[in-house]
Amino acid sequence: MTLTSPPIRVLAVEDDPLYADLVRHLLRRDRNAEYELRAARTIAEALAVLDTEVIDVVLADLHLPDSAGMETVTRLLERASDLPLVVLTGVDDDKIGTEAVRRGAQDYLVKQEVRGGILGRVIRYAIERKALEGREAQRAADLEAAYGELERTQGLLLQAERMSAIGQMASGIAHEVKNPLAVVVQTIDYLDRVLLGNDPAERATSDVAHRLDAMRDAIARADAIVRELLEFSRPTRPQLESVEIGAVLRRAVDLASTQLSRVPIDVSVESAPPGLRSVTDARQLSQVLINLVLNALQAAEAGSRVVARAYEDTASQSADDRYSIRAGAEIGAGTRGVVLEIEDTGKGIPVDLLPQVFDPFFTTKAPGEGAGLGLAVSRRIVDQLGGYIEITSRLGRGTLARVVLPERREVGGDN
Amino acid sequence: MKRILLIDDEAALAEIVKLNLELSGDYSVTLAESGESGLREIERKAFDLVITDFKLPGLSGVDVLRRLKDEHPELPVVLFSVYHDDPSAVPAHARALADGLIGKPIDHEAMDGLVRRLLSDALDDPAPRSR
Repeated sequence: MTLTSPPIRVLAVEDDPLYADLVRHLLRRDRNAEYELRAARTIAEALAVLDTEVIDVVLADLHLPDSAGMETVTRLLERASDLPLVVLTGVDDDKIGTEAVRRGAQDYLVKQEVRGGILGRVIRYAIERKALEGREAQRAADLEAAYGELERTQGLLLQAERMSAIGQMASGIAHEVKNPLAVVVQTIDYLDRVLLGNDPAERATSDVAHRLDAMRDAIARADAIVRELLEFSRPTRPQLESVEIGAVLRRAVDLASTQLSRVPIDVSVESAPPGLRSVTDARQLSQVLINLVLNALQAAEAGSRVVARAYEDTASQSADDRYSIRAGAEIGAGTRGVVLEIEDTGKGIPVDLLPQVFDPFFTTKAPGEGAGLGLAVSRRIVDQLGGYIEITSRLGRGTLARVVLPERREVGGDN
Repeated sequence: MKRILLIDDEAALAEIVKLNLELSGDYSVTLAESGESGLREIERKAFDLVITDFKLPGLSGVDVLRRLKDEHPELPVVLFSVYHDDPSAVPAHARALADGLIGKPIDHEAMDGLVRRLLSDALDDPAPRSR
């Protein structure tokens, strides 16, 4: 440090005015740097100075009228953790000096040993050391942040890679399975026509007819899974058009409830304003809604209700609780859009399973009820449509699936 | 008896579809296992309808469709595909060009209905194709 550097602003906390004068004297004589001295007699005064003035380094006697020993260190560092602190100790207080350093002071000086050169040097080194510490802490924090970012990116990449691998595998399997299924279906039709006549009464009592029908059902189930796999493996570009939301919702509810009617469950469209429209892909949106209604119906128990509704609203903040999970595009809270809800009073989803509901092949359904791709596909579709899906569920109470699509003013050009 | 050419490289499927179509006694079905051999058949014999798989080794179903619509525009062609319900997998121009799409697995009634409709359309055509 040279004399051209700005003066070092030292706060000397010392209740003995003679010693404070000595410090002032010694610093004035130091040729290696220029100092500006602020003196405080008590910890209260010191803290007041720290609050109002810019200080580079604190030099403090630990024994003050209003604070003693380590308390002084703690209180000073509490107020100015970014400032270098040098403590002054008595000749017998060597342990105290070491302890002060352990607690965050940069250095200590035995009062009686303070001479010209030493004081300035200790003060300047303390500043250097503190700056170095700060840079190291900053570097560690930067490193930590970069590491976190890397982990997040890697997670996303892994997820994307996994999805793409699963997609390719699913597509391969689906295509390989479709042809054999077609052979079986055609063979069933052939056997039916060769073995059975057209007389409905005869068919009704024929074991062969029943067996063939059971085979058709089994194939239909396999085909449904394959279809789901294909749907999942090939993202299709949305075909955007202005869509009457209520009509899509009602049709989806009808289709889903005819597909699944094992238990009589009360399914109703509670509200869907007639004029409610959105620029979106009707086919894809309908697929999402059918998936959600099927899920609701499959979660239903005797006496459960499933209610569907659509309305115009603004996007909300992501609910930060463990009973909700959201997936899809980020939409700023307050963005206007269309909300579609499918709510059931069925089984509900256990809290520990909720984070997995959008994962491909994750299912809690009985064999034959689905491959676990419904929500994975729906999530991707809704994401492509620019919106998000939020599932809120309580075990034993039911589930609310909410699809939020942001308002689009125009039909996109790239479909 | 109407003559149908069925192009599919999956022999087991082609055979059972042939059996099913012929069961009615209204059709005779010729099988070809590639687009190339299918086109050769058409040069040799006259057909009333062509059903071709979408995904074939070598010449694809869409190639076959394009060639046939070019050279025999009056001959109805049906695309037979696992992709029939995916608008992006079967290109729009192929959809527009084809006289019908049949998905796999195949519902015989749907297939029979489509074939019957196309063949009666062809029958109504005042200018039956030669060869």
